[in-house]
Amino acid sequence: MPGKSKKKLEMITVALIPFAVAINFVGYFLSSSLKLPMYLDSIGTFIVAATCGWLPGLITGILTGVLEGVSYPPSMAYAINCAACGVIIGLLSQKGWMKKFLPALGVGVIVTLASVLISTPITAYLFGGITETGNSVVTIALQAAGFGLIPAVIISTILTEALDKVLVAVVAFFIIKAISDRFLSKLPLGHLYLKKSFAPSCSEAEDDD
Amino acid sequence: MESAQDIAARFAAKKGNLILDMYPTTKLMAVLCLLLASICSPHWCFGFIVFAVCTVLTAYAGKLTEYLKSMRIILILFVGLLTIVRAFFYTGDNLHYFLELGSLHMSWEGVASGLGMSSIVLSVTSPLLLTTKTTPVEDIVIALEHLGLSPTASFLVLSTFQMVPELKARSAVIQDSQKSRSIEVEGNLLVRAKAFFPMITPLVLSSFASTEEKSVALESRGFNYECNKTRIRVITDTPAQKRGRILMGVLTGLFCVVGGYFKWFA
Amino acid sequence: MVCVELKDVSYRYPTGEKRALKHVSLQVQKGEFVAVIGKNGAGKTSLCNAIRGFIPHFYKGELSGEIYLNGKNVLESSISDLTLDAGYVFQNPFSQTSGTKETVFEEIGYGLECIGMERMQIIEKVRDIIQALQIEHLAYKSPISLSGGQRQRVSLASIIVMEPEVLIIDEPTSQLDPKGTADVFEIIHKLKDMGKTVILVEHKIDLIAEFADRVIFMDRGKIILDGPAREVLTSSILEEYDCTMPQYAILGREMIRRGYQIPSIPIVLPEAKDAVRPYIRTEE
Repeated sequence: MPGKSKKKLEMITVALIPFAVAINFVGYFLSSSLKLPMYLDSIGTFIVAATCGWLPGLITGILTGVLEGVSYPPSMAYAINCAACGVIIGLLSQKGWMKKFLPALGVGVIVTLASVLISTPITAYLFGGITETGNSVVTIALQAAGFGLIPAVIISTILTEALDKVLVAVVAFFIIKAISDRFLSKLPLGHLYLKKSFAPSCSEAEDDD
Repeated sequence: MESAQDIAARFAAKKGNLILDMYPTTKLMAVLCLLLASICSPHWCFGFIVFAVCTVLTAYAGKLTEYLKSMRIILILFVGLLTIVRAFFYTGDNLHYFLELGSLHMSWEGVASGLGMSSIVLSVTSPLLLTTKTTPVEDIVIALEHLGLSPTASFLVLSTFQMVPELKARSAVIQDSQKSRSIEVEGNLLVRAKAFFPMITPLVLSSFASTEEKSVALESRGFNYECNKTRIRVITDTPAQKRGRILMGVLTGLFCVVGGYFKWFA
Repeated sequence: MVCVELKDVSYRYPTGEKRALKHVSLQVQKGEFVAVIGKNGAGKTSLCNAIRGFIPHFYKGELSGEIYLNGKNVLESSISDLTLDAGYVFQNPFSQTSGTKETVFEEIGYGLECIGMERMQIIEKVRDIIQALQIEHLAYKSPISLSGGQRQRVSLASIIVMEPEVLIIDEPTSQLDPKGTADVFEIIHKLKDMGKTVILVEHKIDLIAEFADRVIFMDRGKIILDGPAREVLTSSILEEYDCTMPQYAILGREMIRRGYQIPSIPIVLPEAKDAVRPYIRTEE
């Protein structure tokens, strides 16, 4: 089984990924405590992918899926989905999409589309449209109204994912803005989000107090 | 304090239970084999037999309650709901209906389809839950390391498993402290949504702060030191299990060929 | 034998305007117990980071000068290469656990696992250090359940067990309560007894007076004083830089100022007692 080559990952990224996965879980936890209709379970993936790149995003996604699968095994099948989202966010972030608000929204939209594209066959063919969450109800209702399985799954997935992923993109965007320059400067893609370019160092004479 | 030999034994402890002591790779291979076999199985009862066997084995390992807690929702959703849904909405020629509900009809073929899909889900879920409930994560990781998993990857898995409950506990503390600062958490959707941000942000920022120190600390303890890493905790594979895994693979292969033939070609 | 050598080291952090270290030169011999004192921002932690190679390998920035650790050129070695040359204990008790171990015993052994030591040897060494530092009661607890003081003791054990040439300990008690502080200093006392080479950054100047052979006083990136503990801790230069002396030294200087004769300015309790005893009137 191939390991993840540590030459591709900096130490600080390796230390960050477990936090990112945990933040995914906490996002979901807080969202349910507040009884919000979104999952908000990919904040960590967004932040890590935006600040460290596509590979950390991919790893965060896989680990999230695997961990969710420990208590609910069907979630493991969606690990591919989480991983792909991480990759997309990472690649778009490299091009600077998470630097400004509107492009960040765009990332949310693209991730939604990708998520629908990948999770629909999984939900439909592996699970017959049934998921652990409320969108099973929507799927069933649509089927009762005459929609086929695939269209029903697509529609119900879009409804839940769109609101969720776009919102997560916005939350991640603002959180990245709140990270200190000092820390950002150590992350692989952190230089994209620095708030100020560094002041030139003062001369030795000025410095020599 | 105990002698070094006793300590060494403690970290290689055998519990005397066939399932609890089973080498993780054997369990994981069983999951894979059962997945493949269930896909190729011509009859949907396969998954239910697997479920029954796994339940018995889990009970033997003493982890029945946790197992059933997780299994319950699977059974309700897939054996229950999925079968009913498939019964109503299955499309095909020459369907034999047996029940009418308004404009919807339930067909036997739909039921069979639902049960067939449930069978596959059960065939994977049961042994997977059996594995996760009877094997500590670290043991699974050690088994994967023997198969070539890198130290960085095993760190990522283990650290993540420890981090999630830790951060959840911290978030509960932050939730309380935010409530006491009268950040509204009850009320309409917008109010509750606004409460989300100040709850998650401190957690994220403090995580980042910890990460910097943590990564230096890990490196200075030799995380990236180039050598074959060793471990205090050990798990042991047995020749019997090695032979068992080979047998498992062969039997699965045969089953898939024969079962597949009957399922798709006969 | 020279364990640590800095030659004219100056350093600026990437986000810093001013330099954190300015023309710092020093040598530390094997077996010396060196304390580094100074206000916040004086450059103490930067000094420690430079010795261990975190500057410049982790923190990047601009560095000039030379740094040698056990004869190895720090600038040309990676942080991992220097693992057995210097061990480092940080301020924050909560960021030093590996986060991958279920028991304190395994946590302490983590570094030895990382360097590929043979299993039984690891177990014996960890067992020995647990007994030496008297933390048997923590051995099988989960690292996550420990308090700050307990975590720092475990961190110290984890680093000491690797038997590095030099131990760099950066304000280990700044985030601890008095009990935690006392526990940590008990271990530092043992380090002194074991004759380890230690570089300790601390604000608790009274405790430093008990352990340090040598004290380095830093201010704004420069070494202002560097000498035997007694000399530095009683030097009037400390006052000029607004740095508090050990309380017994303050007492001693006040006594001198008021005309009392004392053999020398005390920096620890027994010396203070000796100084004061002749002047205590006892009730007949």
